[in-house]
This record gives sequence, structure tokens and C-alpha cells, in this order.
Amino acid sequence: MSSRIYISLVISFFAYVLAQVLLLKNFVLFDTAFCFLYVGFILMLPLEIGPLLLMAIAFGTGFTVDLFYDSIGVNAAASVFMAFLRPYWLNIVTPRGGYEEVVIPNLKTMDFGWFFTYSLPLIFLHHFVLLYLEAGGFAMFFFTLTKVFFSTILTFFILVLTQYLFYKKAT
Amino acid sequence: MYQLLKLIHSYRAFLLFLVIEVVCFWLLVRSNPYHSAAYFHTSSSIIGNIYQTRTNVAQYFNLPVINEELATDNARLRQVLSQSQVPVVVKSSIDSLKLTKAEYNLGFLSAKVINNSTRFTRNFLTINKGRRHGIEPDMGVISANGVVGKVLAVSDNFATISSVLNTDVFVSGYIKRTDNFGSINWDGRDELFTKMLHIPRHAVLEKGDTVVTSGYNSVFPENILIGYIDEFSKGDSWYDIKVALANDFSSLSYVYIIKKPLNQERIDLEQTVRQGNE
Repeated sequence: MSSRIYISLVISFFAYVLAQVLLLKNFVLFDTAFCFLYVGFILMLPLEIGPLLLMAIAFGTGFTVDLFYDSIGVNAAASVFMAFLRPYWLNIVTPRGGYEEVVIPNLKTMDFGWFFTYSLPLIFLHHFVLLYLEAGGFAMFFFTLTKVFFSTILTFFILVLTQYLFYKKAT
Repeated sequence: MYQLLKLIHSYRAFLLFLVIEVVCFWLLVRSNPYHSAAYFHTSSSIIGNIYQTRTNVAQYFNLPVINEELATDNARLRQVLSQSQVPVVVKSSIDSLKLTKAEYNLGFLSAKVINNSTRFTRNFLTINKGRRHGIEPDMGVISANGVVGKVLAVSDNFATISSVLNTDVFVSGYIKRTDNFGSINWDGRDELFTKMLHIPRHAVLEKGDTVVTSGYNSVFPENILIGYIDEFSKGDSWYDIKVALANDFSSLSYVYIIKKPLNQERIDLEQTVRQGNE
């Protein structure tokens, strides 16, 4: 992995976290749809990062967001859960040619259909863990489930939108 | 032994996953979330400064609203001032007049809200004043409209406040007209309403009854407005009461922190009694 990738990873870490805590923290649609765009950072880490390092990075990212949300442990737990599942899910959704030429899984390197099946279930599971932990259990089951459902849609939508805005298509 | 190490090695990802999740849960459910250190909260100096910068930018867009709010508050205080100069005791309709009673000797500190949330189950605010300005954990926080919350953690220049919109926060409430005491606790659903618990079924309530703080706690002085009863129904043993909050939490910009000078004495006394009973 070249040093250029490391630098761009550090930059995108700060970009995602700052966007999350400064812009998106109070961006809530219809009181139910939250946007946790920072999961995009974990989803689009290079494929060659091993599962241990991946979980460590996810923990660091979630923990940083937690500090700003006053919810220590919640985002970290959800992010680590998602990072744990990512390698298994990547195996299941392997495209026909394999991942040989792919370094970073995003809309630049993969087609929309693949990105949809790759990211949407992981985002859903992340939000599921996150919002139920935040609610402190299953006491408000359907109220929280509505939040999970609409938040997943919103996060996915914003994630796709930012990629069309900020990632140049390879020509 | 080698087999065991091999087994651990092959499951290393899962084991690390378990370890990190256990750490996360431990952080999440630490036995006493109150009095926790400031660096795990938005009151830590780095996070506080970032939010301060954001507020400095964003506040320009809210200046008309903030101005109006402060002007209204000024006018109200002016009215209170003019009434308090009348030598005979004037019964005022404004609750905060009672705060100025000499026996309480309350101190007020105003602070700017630099971070606020209303949409989570546990909501917090961050203000731009901290230990250096005399703020300590467990102090009460109010705004011009009513109760806001209590101080959770402080650093030198910032403080994190657990809002009333936080399912962990209980405030001792009091229905003015019927003299009933109960707890105010948010159910995590609607930012405009909270719940009042433990009002016995024999009480005769009416829609619109005023709910204020009771003074049965060490955080707030009595008679600070909380809200008005919006709906109520009889549950199994208590009333199920929905209270419309007097504060609009989504638009808080300035708050007041209450310093109660005799508070430590009261807490010490209550502690002694509790120890004596055990």
C-alpha cells in the first residue's frame, strides 16, 4: 500500500468525522431519519486492511464520534460490529471477476448494483446496533425500528451523493 | 499448548471483536455516569473549542431570534425589578421573582449554548463556561422559559449538561394547583413533551395545570417552571401525565446556571442521615 493511500485515508478520516459532528449531528429529518455518514469511511477502507486493524480503526472512528455525541461506547460498539462483519460480507458479495484490481470499494471502482448490496445491509446492521444501544434496549421497539429504517435510507442516500460530488470518476 | 495457540490464532478476529465490544459496553454502562470526568464529554477543551468555533459562525444566522429572546427576557426582568421596589409584598405572577429571596442567596451565571441535541434518547448541551467561572457538577441549569437540565461534567472552560430531554435525568416536580409531588422523567419520544410520574389517582387534575420544580432536590430551587399538563389518564396505580415543556429545547441559545451556596451543607446533612439509617 503506497503512502499516498495512507495520507488520503487520514484526510478522509478527518473529513468524515468533522462533517459528522459539525454538520450532520443536528441534521435529522422528520424526527426519525438520522445520518451517520462516517460509516462510509469504514465501508470504503482499502480491501487489503486485515480484520484486526479494520476493527481497531472502526473503534477509533466510532469513539471519536462518541466524544462529540456524549454517547461514549455507542458508536464505537456499532462501528466495531460492522467492521467485524465486513470481511465476511465482502466474501459473500464477491463480484464475478473477484477483487483483484480493486483497492478501495466505492462507486468509482465498482458499479452501483454491487455497492448497493455491499453497503446497505452493513449500514442497516450498524444503525440497528447503534440506535437500540442508544435507546437503552428494546423498550421502544417499533419507534426505534422506524428510526433504524429511515436512518439507513438517509445515510445510504447521502453516502452515494457525496461520492458523486467528491470522488472523480476514473476515465 | 500449540493446539491451543493455533486455535486462538485462527479465531483472533472474533476474539478481538469480543474484547472491543466488552470494552464498549463497559464504557456505556459504567455504574455512575454522573460525576464522570470531563475528557469523555463534550466539555473537554478540544471538543469544546471546536463547538465554540462552529457556534461563532452559525450564530450569525440566528441573531434576530436571539436578540428578540434576550429583549423579552430583559423586559420581564425589568418588570420584576420595578415590582420588587414596591415596599408592600406584591404577589407576582412571575415565578422567578421568588428566586431573589434573600434566604436562598442564589447566584446566577449566564452562559452560551455551543452544542445542543434534542433528537436522541439521552440529550446533552455544552456551554461555554466551566470550572474557572465557578461551575461544578450537579448545578441546576435554567433558561428564561424554565428548567433546562443539570451539569454533568466540567472542564476549565466548558461544561456538559444533561438536558431534561434525557431519560436518565429525574427532576422533582410539583403541581401548583393541587399540591402534588412527582418525578419528571422524559420517555425519549417527543422533544416538546415530558412525563410526570407518581401522581396518585385521587388527585383532581385539569388540563393546563402548571408544573414547577419542588425544591425536594439539591439541584433546583423551588418554583422554577417546567411546563403545563397537556394530557392525563388514570393508570393502574398512578396517573399517566403528559406535560408540555415550557422550554423550546431546539432553540436554546443562552442559559443560566444556578449556584446554591448552602447546597454542600444540605448534601452533607442528607448523606449523614442516610448513613445513620444503614
